[in-house]
Amino acid sequence: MDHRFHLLPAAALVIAAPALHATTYLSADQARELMFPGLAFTHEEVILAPEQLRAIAQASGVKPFSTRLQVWRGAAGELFIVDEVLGRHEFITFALGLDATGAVKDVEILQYNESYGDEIRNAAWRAQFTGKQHGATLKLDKDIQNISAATLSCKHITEGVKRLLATYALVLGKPAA
Amino acid sequence: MRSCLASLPLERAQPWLGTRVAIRVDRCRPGASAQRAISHAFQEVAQVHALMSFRTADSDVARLNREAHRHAVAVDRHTLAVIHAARALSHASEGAFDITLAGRWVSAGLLPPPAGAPWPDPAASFRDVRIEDDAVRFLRPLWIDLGGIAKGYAADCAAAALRRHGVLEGRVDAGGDLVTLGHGPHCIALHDGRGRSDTLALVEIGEGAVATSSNRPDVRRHNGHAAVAHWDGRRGDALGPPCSVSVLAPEGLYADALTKVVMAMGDDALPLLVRHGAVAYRHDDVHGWRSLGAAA
Repeated sequence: MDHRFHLLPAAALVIAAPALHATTYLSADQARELMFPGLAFTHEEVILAPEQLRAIAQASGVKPFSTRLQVWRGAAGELFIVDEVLGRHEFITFALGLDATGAVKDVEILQYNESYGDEIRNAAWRAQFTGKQHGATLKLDKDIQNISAATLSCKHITEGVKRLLATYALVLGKPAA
Repeated sequence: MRSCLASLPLERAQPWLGTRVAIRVDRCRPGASAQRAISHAFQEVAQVHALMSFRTADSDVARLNREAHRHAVAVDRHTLAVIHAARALSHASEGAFDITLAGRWVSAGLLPPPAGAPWPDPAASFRDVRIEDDAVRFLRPLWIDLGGIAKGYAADCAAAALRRHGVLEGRVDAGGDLVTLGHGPHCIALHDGRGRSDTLALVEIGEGAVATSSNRPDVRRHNGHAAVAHWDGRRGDALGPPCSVSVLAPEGLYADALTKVVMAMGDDALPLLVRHGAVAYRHDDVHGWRSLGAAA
C-alpha cells in the first residue's frame, strides 16, 4: 500500500497541561433541519422538578445531568431535544429527534470534547515537532483532523438517549396540564 | 439541502457500533449534496450496526448465536460478506483471528450474555462456522462477535455511499478506523495509546484505510474494561505485552481485522499483510515504532 511514514521527534518537551479538545459538527438548528426538514418548531426550556429527576433516574438507571432541558416541539408532537452527557474523559452535546409517537428518529452528535488523543490535536504540542522529514514539508500548523486510534466506547450517549426516552415517557410526552 | 459548493468541509458524527462515527466531506462533484451524501453514508453504518450488533436481539449475529447450531440461518449479504472474510482470515492466521471467541469475552465481562442462546461449547472455533448459500450454520453451540472486523466494513460501506453520491474527497472515521476518499494525500496521526508522547507518528496515504488496535491499560481504562479485550485465538489467552498496532490497507475491513492478527502473530503476519496489500506499524515501549511489510 503506497504511503509515507513520518516519525517526528520532539525538539523540546515543553507540554502544556492537557485540555479538552472540542470538535463541533453541527449547530442545533442544522441538526433539527436535517432530522425534520421544513418543519416548524417551538422552543421551550423545561425545568425538571426534584421528584421528576428521581423518577427519570429510577426508570432509566441514569441520573439526569442537568435540571434544565432544551426542547423543541413540532405541531404533530414531534420533539427535538439537545442535551449533554459527561463521561470520565469526554463531554458530549448531542441532539435527539423523536417522531410523534415518541420513537427515536435520529441522534446527532453536535459537539464532542475529549481528552484522549488531545495532544495530537493540540497546536502547542504539535509546534514542538519539526515538520520536515524525508524532504516533505508537513502542514502541521493546520489541525490534524485524522487520527487512527484504538476504538473508544461512547456508551455515555447510549445512556443519555435512554435517559431522554424516560424523560419523554414521564414528563415531555404528557399533554400540558 | 446544502449543495456541495456551500461551506465545505462538512462533518457530522453519530453514535453507532458502540463508538463515535464521524463522516467528513471535503470536496464533491458540482451539483452533488454533501449533506445528502453523509446521510446516506450514515444509513449504511446504521444498517451494519443493526445486522451485526451482538447486543440487539433481532440482529443477524444474535439470531445466529441463538439458532445456528440447530439449523442454517439466512442472513443479509452484508453479514455474509463479513463472516466470509472473517473465516478466510481465521484460516490464513491459523485461528489467531477468530470471531467465535465471544464466550470468553462474556465470561470476562466485556459483553453481556446473549438472551436465549445456549452456552457455547468450549471447544468451538472458527472451523465450526459453515456458510451454506446465503445462510450460516454452526456445527456446535457457539457465539460469534464481529466487533473486531465490522467497524472497518461499516466504514467501507459508508465510503462507498459517499462515492455513489458524488463525493470526491472525504473521510469516514468509525471510532478510529479510517477510510479515506480521494488522492489526498491524507495525513493521519497514529495514536499509540499512551498518554503524552515524545514522538508523533504520521502516515500519508491516498485512497485507503488505516485502523489501530491497542491492548494498553490506558485504553481499557477509558472504556471501563478491567479485562483484556484482545485474545489470541490459537492459544485462547489474552494478548500481551502492551502494544499498539496500526494497519494500512486498501479496505477498512482488512485494516481493522489485520490489527488483531499482527498483534497476535507479530512478524509471522507478514504473508497475510502482503496478500491484502497491507502494511503495519507496531509500537511498544521497548522498540518504539516498527514497520511490517513496508519497503525499507
